[in-house]
Amino acid sequence: MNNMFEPTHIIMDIKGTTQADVLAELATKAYELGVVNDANQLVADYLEREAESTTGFGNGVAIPHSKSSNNKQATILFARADHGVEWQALDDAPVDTWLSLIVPDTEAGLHLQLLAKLSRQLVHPEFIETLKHGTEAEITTLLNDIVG
Amino acid sequence: MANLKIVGVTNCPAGIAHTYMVAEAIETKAKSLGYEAHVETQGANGVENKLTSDQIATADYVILALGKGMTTEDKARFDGKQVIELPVSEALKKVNTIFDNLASEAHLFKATGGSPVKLGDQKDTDGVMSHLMAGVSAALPFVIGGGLLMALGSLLVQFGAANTAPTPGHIASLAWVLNTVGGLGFTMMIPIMGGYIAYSIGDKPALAPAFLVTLLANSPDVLGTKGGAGFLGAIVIGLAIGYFVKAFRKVKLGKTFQSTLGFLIIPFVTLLIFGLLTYYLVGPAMAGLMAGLLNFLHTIPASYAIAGGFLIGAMLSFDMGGPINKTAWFFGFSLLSSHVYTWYGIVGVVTVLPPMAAAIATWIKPKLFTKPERESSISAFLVGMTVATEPAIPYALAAPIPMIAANTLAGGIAGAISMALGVERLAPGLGVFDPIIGLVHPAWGYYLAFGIGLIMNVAFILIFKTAWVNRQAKKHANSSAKLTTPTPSVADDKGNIGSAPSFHDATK
Repeated sequence: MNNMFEPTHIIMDIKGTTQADVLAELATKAYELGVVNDANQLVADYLEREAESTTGFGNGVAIPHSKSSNNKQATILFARADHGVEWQALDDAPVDTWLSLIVPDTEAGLHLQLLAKLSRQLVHPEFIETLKHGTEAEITTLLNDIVG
Repeated sequence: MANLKIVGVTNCPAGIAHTYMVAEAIETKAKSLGYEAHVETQGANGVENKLTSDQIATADYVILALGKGMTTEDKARFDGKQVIELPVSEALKKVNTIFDNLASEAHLFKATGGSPVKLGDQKDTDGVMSHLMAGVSAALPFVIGGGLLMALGSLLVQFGAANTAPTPGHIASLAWVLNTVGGLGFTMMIPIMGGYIAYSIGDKPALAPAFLVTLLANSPDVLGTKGGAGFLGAIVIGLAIGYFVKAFRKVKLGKTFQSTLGFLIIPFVTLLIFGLLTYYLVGPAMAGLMAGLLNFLHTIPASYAIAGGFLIGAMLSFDMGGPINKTAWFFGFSLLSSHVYTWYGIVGVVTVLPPMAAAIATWIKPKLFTKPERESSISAFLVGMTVATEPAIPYALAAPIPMIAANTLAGGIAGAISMALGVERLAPGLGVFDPIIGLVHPAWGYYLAFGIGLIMNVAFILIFKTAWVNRQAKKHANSSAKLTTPTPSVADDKGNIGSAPSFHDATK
């Protein structure tokens, strides 16, 4: 089974200043990694999910995610920016840290359990702290401890 | 307030993130306060940590953080509890506030119907209805697609196009192909119903045997009968095989053979048993029933013609393509060769009623019907008006008792009027347009019988189905288990039953 997270899944320098731009950067990354069929479709999926309710759950972190037939394998992307991006987050604060979950709609079993475990970590402050301020190496270790 | 007990349920649109984040947030917060918490997650991974009835019973508060709603029956678990319900998207922000103000945030939740819900006491009927609905939704596209193709084919024929089957050296005419392909939809609709009713109960291993056995029960050629078992046969077979397979799946075969149970042993054994039973018992029983009914019909004295008209009309509408309907149709059709056209006139009047009435009923009282039923109404109306009764079958399957009662009664009344007015039909044609194209006369008699029958049929459907829906709702509430009814069951209904003959007419 492919690892859902690798060091290559990290973007430390998000350029976009709008939600759409950031999602496009994430989707491009996913496409380059070969885990989605179509980058534009992923952006559309992300936006559709954001339209249902924001994935920005506070503290400057958002978790844009997609479950779709466009997705080829369960994948986690991580991204950070040195500037905040408006995300209609729950606390109305701009977002500078993203953890994106990309799941094929036929996915079942282990990957989903691992992603559930990862999601559960997101409510713990020390986990968020590392995501927001940790080095690439620390983040890789953190995530792989959970889903590797 | 030490030692409170909290239970919760979380779900979200994609089922991969918020479901679990919120569950964790609730559990963590509860733990920090020294409370006991159990949270059921309804995510992409299925339902995990499912709450036990014991946990619910002893809980002080229930937190429902929902992103994709919750069915009435699922929610009924929390009848009589102090419930806090909020969108999953807001739950993360509000977890602290909620825990600080449990008493003021919570509301006493009454499951619809108002009486307490006991778990584990689920009414069987609710289950059966949901299985029938599975059959309905699988079958609808068959009857819609097939019906419209046949309507197109019949229209071509009425406008003078040839309706010729292929012969050596000649290809078939377009109208024939349309009729034949469309007819496949009608032929397969019934086995699909049987198959999916069983599938809904017994899962995948039940599908193939139920499909095949229902097909067998509707293959008069193979059974040596004059008609098939129709949609009522599909219900019986679907339910029987579904529950049989459900029980069968619990059989333990040991490690080596267990994996072959679902795809090999169950389909094989089930098909063997039910296939043989159907062939050797159901087939002959149906043939006997039909022969008996036919003999009986031939004994009706001429002076009882109007009562006979009622009987034939009612039979035609009763099971739409099943043995009762087939017998009545056959009776009327066979008399054509003796130049008696009035009985076949009844066929012309009655068989258009059920689908048209069902469609009209969905327009008058949409609430009595499900979304797919409402969306199918236009096609049911058009196809019913022109070529076939079949579009009424899904409506009947969804609520057999009220729909069969309404159709049968209206069919009987229309049949009696048709007979009283001496409506004669010479050959199968294009439904309500038959008088215009000269196949039925007198035209005024036809339209009078048809009009009264249609109004009656719609009225009966509305009355019976409303009563049935209310009764279902009450039953659910009382029987405690699932509250399927209020919204869902209302929506569960469909409308009609009709007679089957039009299918024959169209394919003759």
